[in-house]
Amino acid sequence: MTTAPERRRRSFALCVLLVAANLVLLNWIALGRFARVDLTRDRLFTLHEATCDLLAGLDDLVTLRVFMSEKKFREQAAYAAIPREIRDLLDEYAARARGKLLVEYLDPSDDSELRLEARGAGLHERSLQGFGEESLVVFTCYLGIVLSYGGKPDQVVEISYPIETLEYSLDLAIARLTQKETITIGFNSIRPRSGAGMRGLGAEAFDEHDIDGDYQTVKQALARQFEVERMPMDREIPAHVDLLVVHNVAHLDDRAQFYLDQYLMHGGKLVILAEGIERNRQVGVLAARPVLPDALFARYGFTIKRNLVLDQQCAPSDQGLPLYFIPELIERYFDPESPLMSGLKAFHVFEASAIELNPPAGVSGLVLARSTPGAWAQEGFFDTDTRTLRPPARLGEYRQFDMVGLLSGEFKSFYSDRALPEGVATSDRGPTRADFERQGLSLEEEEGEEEDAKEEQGEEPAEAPPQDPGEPETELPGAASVPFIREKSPQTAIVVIGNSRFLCNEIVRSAPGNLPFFWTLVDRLTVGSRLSEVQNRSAAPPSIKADLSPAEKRLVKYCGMLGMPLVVLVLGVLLFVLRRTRNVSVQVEP
Amino acid sequence: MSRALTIAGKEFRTFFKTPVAPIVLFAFLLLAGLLFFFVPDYFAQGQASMRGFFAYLPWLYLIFAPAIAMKMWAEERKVGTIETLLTMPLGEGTIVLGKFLAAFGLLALALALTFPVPIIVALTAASAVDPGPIAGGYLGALLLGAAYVAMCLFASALTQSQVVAFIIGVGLCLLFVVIGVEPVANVFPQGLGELLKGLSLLQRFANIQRGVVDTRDVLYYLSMLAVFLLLNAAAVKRR
Repeated sequence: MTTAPERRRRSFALCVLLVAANLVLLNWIALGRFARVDLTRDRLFTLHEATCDLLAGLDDLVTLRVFMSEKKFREQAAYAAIPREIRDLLDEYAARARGKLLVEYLDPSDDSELRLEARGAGLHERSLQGFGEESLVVFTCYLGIVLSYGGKPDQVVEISYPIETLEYSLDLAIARLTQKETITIGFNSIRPRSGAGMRGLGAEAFDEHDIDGDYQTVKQALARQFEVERMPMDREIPAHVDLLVVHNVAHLDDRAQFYLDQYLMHGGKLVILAEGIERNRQVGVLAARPVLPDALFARYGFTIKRNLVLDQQCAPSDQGLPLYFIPELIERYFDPESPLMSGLKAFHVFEASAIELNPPAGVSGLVLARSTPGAWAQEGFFDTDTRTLRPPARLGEYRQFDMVGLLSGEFKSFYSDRALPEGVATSDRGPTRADFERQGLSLEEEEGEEEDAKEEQGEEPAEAPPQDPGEPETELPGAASVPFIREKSPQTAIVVIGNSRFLCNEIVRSAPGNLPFFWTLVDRLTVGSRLSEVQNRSAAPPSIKADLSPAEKRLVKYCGMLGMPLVVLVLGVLLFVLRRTRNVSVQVEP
Repeated sequence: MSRALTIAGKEFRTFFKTPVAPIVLFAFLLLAGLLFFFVPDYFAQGQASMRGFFAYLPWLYLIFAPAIAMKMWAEERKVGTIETLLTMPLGEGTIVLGKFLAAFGLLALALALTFPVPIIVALTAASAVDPGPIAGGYLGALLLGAAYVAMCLFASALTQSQVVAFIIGVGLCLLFVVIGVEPVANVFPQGLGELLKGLSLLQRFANIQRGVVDTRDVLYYLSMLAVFLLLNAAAVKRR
């Protein structure tokens, strides 16, 4: 016979067990049905609006074949979360695409045919380290997505873990698959062929950059969405180039300047990367550049200063020493209104010069990024030795410098009031097919209209190339094969950055903000999409202010550690004394 | 609920009738500050972030939560006041909830007193600090602390010795922390290891700390809370 209290205890124990079982069941059910609140400022863990727009705009079915060795990941605690995270993300993609995105999960762990298929699609088998029963083990797996759309070649996305960058990679692949036109980015070249002297960050590379050398990382990154081409500057820049990056400015001879000018006058967009200093190849010291196309730049409305900007907000060396000549440009000093800088947090420049904007009539200028107020500049004599370089003692030497600028509007040709350089009369500089297309006309229509008009007037149809009626054109005396140049551009833009070295391979790898910054510029100036914002979302926290003195740092640390504990201690003692006094007074009362 | 709050208020005031609460708060804040600012050096890391602060918190709680909760039942049992308490027309559930709220209140107070840390982080940052992960971190820290306190209260209900309650509490919390650590989870067969990792307090805390509040993680913490408070009530009833 059990007593009543025993029965109560048993029933209570049973109740506890039942509640616990229910909670386990509830948690299990919740694995499939859940909601998330993303508290981060940039909504880092939620699909970006640009992604949602891209998916909503799909007009045909995109198929995603996800090759994921789920079985192997489940065996390793370190990787067990991968399948869940990828599925969660792709579920959101599918939901946003409203039936235009088909996701198929394939596990090649035990299926040799699937492994062959994955390899055939371009995915690589990768090796990861995990735990075995007694020691570390290396196992091989597949983790990638193959995207198919219409009759276009498949796009492959290799997934890296953690999967923070997957959204951006997927977006790029989808955009590339579905975009109607190819966007071409040109990089000016001073060498006739690729791979001529593959350079890293040697002394020579400082002054001569090459997309197959020290700019290779940038080229590879841009090639995920754009066509990237080397542009020799000894001839006309093709009209299909949507944006030209000019990085070897010291090598722009008269002919190159002419072609650059006419590219701009035809509506092409420019990104100028130039510093007013160069490193001497023999002795490796910095000196002011003797040659820069200053007159050309002045016509467009900007100047590259012959100085070296140093900043207390800078990258540290491996030993923690401040590298003042690698200033960090931070969000606080970016133009908050410009979409070109939207979402960017920070990036570094390397031995950079300040720029100055003096926009001419019809052109507007906007400084996109400045140094911090803790910056100063060297002119004439340049010292970058970390052992001797110190910030100036006088406060008056500190100021902010303009580092990145945007000029937009209708530019006037550098050659509108001067003689053309010799040897540029090589081809017809009249309006091209692309010019007409830019203005929403077709060449045939224009020719047809002109011929119709002349026929009406009883004239024979002309054989001369069509002229753009909206553009002022000048017939050049003595240059029969160059019938005219454009003297004024349509609405276009130039971005000027007082540095070309920040895109070198090693700098890009060590400064994570540089590539997103450049990508954003290119993306906004060409496609005008917001996909770069997806990349610019970063969980990386901001850096610490560089202008804090050692004494201030010590004060912050000790106050942070001791401040509140001491307050609590003092309050505790006060409380104790008060209580004791009260107890004493209670005791002495009759 | 109002009765539970009355008990909670009374228990909370009890903490401050002895020097225990100020000493515990002082030790917690000092340790938290020392670890965050000096191990490793805050400025040497170069990043204005509270990740380091939240990374230490589960381990700090391992000492702090048992220290708060160890006397809640053990003391009552030792001095014999538990009989009086249980004969009151309140019910075990109400009393357990009241004691839990009191202990959790002290833990929340300790956490609230760390408010200078995010201020310092924001003031020393070169650009704006994202408040999301900080808010997520504090929310996660509250949920984690609630789970720790519930476990330690249960431990306190098992014995009349505060020292034993402290040791059991530390052991129990440690168990739910280390099962999520990879080398430990990998000792078990794959399915079990995965399950244990899913049960780890540390793993869930890491998720919320990023700034993402997922219903699965919140539900997990609430379930842990419910189970251990029920077990606490069962342990009280058993005696």
